[in-house]
Amino acid sequence: MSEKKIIEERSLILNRRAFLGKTALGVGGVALASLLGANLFRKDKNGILTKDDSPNGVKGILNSLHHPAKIKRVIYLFQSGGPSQLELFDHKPLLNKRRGEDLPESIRNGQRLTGMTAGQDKFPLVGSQFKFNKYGKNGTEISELLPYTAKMVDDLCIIKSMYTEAINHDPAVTFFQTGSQQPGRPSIGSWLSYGLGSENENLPAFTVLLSRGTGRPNGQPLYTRLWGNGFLHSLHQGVQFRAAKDPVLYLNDPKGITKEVKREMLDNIAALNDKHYQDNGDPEIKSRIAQYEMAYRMQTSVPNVMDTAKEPDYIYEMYGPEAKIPGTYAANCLLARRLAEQDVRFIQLYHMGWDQHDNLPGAIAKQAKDVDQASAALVADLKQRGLLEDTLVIWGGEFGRTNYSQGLLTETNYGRDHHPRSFTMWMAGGGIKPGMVYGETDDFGYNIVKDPVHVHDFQATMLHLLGIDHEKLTYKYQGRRFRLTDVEGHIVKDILT
Amino acid sequence: MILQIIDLGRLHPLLVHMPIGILILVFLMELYFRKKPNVLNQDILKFALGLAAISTVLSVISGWLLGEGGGYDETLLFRHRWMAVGLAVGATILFLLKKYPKKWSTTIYLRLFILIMGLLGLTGHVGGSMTHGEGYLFTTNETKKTVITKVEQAMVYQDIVQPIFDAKCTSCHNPNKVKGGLIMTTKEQLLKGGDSGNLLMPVQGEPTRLMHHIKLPMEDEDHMPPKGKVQLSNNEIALLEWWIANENCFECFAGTLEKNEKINEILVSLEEDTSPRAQIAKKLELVPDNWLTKINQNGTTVTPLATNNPLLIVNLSGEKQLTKENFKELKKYAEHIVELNLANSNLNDDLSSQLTPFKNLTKLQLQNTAITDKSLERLRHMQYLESLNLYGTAITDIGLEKLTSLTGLKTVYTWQSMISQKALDSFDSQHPNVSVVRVDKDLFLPTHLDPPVIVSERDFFKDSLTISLESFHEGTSIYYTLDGSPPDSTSLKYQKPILLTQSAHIKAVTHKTGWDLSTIKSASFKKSAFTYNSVTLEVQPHKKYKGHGNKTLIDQKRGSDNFLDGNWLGYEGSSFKATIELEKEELISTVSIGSLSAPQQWIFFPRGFKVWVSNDGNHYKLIHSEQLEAEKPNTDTKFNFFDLAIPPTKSNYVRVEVISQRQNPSWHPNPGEKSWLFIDEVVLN
Repeated sequence: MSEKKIIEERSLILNRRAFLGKTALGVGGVALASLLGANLFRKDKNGILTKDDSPNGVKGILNSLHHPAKIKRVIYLFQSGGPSQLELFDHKPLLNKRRGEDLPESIRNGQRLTGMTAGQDKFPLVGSQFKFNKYGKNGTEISELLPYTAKMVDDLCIIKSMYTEAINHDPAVTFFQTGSQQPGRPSIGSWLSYGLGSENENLPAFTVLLSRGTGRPNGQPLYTRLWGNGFLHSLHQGVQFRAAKDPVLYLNDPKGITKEVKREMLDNIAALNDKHYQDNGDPEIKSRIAQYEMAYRMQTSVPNVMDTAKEPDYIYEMYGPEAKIPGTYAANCLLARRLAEQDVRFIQLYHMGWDQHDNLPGAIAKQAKDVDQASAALVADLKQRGLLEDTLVIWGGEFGRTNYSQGLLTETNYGRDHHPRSFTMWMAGGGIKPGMVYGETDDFGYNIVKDPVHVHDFQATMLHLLGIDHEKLTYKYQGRRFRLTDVEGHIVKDILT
Repeated sequence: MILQIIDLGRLHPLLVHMPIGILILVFLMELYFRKKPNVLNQDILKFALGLAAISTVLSVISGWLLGEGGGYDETLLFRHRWMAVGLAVGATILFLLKKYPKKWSTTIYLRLFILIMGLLGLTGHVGGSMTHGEGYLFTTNETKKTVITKVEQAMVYQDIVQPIFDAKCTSCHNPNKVKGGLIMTTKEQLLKGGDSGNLLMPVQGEPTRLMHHIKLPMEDEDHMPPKGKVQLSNNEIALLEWWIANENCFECFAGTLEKNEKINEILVSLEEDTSPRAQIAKKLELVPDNWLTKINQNGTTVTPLATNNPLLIVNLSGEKQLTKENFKELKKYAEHIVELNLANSNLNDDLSSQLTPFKNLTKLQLQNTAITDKSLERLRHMQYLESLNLYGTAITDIGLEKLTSLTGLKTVYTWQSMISQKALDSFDSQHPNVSVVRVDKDLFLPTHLDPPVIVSERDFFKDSLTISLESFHEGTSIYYTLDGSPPDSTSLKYQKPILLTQSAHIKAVTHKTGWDLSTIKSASFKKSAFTYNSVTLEVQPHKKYKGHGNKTLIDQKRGSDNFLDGNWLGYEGSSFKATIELEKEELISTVSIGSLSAPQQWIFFPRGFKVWVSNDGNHYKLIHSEQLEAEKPNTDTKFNFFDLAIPPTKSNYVRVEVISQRQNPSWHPNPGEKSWLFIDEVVLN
């Protein structure tokens, strides 16, 4: 290509950009938009509004849903570290009977082990030290560690046949959240923000709340990329709400800056940015303007939603005493309900500390106490407010734990290593069959024998409930179209109403 | 060779459209140019007509060959074939007349052209009927679909199997286009089969020839439907197999045949969607985009249920400035709105008069609004209403009564309304189909007393500190001790905030008559009267637990159970030793050391202490030394301040050594491994 031609091409591109930029923003744009159809200039490919539309918030890339939705929002209670399904939901008396015996190779069947137990020369089976009882209309077995969850069992759909491909925390959590074990893809909440946008223009579509468990207070750390936007626009990343004076970092004005000054400053910056956008058409500039505006509105909306002081005592009684202590799981559950009431689309909780490689009995008892009452209370509270009908609550970790002891098996003590082949999750809410147990593992609690549910199946089902066809919500990046479920995922129809 | 010629016939669908297009174009040009004849125009027409004649002849040749391949309705083929021949002859004559005009030919020319155009249309139509079936032009797909309302009573062949054939097979296997000699439109023809044999007889391991062709790999020439056509779905294949397994019964009802869970599920999915929303949607047109854009100008309130769905969801929740106008602008498409959310809005009995036009609502959210029973009067005609949210409203028993007329109702939310328990119970028994959602109040009642919360601004103080105790429960009292002894209902009763002027170890319990005492909550508060100049660590901590360096010990911040929080110094298998320099000489009688034990994390309390003092920082004198017992087997995480009473000494420098256990004890799961020592504060008094 000759140099002259290159210059011509470039000027052509620039001209087209300038044309689009100016017409989309100016009077010409309005006229053209009305001629060509209303949606033409509504948003660019990143789901950001152009100026002639509402100046507020983020619109999703989907003009309308692929099919009618059953739910409007998701609260994902992520139990980080890998809760032991064998102590909580999946009752396996055989393990108690054959306690101390070596795990038969016919059951393990060459399963890849982590470096933590690969060196063990024996894999002594160990059953739950905690009792199981039957609850609810269907007599569902739940451990004594979860007395409150047990009371809500008729509202839950318990899936005992989850499985994943990863055996270590980081890839496994990343897999659940982004559909890929390698970092770099957008997380679920980001996909939803990208696809559906924000229902409440004053709050982000995707919020994140963290808490540390008492079972293993120094357990696996989390990384902000777990709620990252990956290759999607930075507008879609999760916003972390902290339990501190500044729930969202850097949101408050510096000392000496009044609201008026702030507003004037934002207006002027926006004008400069607009001008810049008209000149070079970079969509990141639009995103920057939108983020400034969102932050400005969040200065009022966030303190409102975080201020739980006015919650009545009987609500605290439901969620448990810890709900009064900011930063605890119980307090976060209460906040999750408040965010749900404000139409925040994806509310992600992480509760750390389920990684009980040793001293499991003592640690899991504490850890279960952290989450039991508040999780159950959240479901009940949403239910009495009529919100459960269009909310999906998910409880679960990144994998399960082995049916054999890691380290020394003593009279009162044992540990369990990571187990990807089978684990338990529960869901409750719109479109999900309540009071159901789905899937089954063998008597050793090691392999799934009925209705396996893969991580991608779980993701596909969740998107389906939200009215999204998981194969159609895609983003083209580096020459291929990406989606949350990668190239897999089947909707688990059996658990849908 | 013959095969190749027939293959040429396959070019027919491609070629056939050329003469159609060209002839129409020339005809129109001819009419247009009549007004302004000139040489150039005539030249163009001549050229185009020549092209038309050639392409018509080529089409006819290719079509003839295609027809030889068979599979078409003979009558239609005959007609199409000879009409086309006529067309080719006509087009050629037209060209000759144009090219060599005679005086007599000008009038004939146009008439012939009009005639040919007519013939063209007819030939095209017959050709279309051959490929797509007769009546293709006037039938729509929808009329073919049989509606199954109750799948148990459906005829398996007539209502389930034949519709699959109609959708996927009969476009090539119908009386007009008999590919492979097979017709699949009637029972008789199906039984008769095609050229290669009976359709329902076993072949090559498959129970029937039908399934054999369907299951061949896509690349196989005999795969059906052919590559590129719409394929059968897995459900359709499953249904066909089920039908064949039941001896391809032509007269059976679905209800009487044996079926497994999977088939049952597929069958149910065939049933027509009889939900109210589906019924409403059937009657309505799509809402135009520009109306939606206009109404959503100031933030989205109206969204379609889904793409190509005429139904709408309206969300006005939290709007505090609703007026009648808001409802009036929705009125145009009120029938489309199936979901209306007015929660937490300024809706009241006055505004609710605007709700009447929304008679197709299936879900209505009125929670936390100022409505009263009067408003429920306006819902009377909402026959499809399934979910009604009245939580947090002033609705009373009278209002509840009014819901009786809502026959479609399934769910009502009445939490925190004024409706009495008695009314709810009687409503429950009268309306077994309606679920009044309630959460059992006793579900979350405490089963035990929780300990009180100890609230203070800091853990250390110079002169005094105020501490308050809070109970989580109503109607309980708190008892506490300040000396570390376990409290009970004879201990000090908490009345007002406690003022501490000395270091104290508070222990508190919650008490209520008739209940067991709560567990004990404890906390220590340290008086720290002196100011320190510096701290020197004689032994460096492990690089992972360096806290904030030497300052960590005197920053008056306790470490938490997250020992990475920067307030702990951690030592792996070694002891702790540090020297503190005071600002000025002080009388010291106590040295307090904050430490942590968490056997699960390989952390243990110290096994001993040594204290030296000095006035010049060079010469130190050992003034205290003590040994501690090893910990008994346990797994708890514990914090403790070890207060060492030393002989009162005036000095500027204090050096402390805290002796580590160094190894995990024998009762630990990992005995003999290096254990940890954690220190967060050293306080002198």
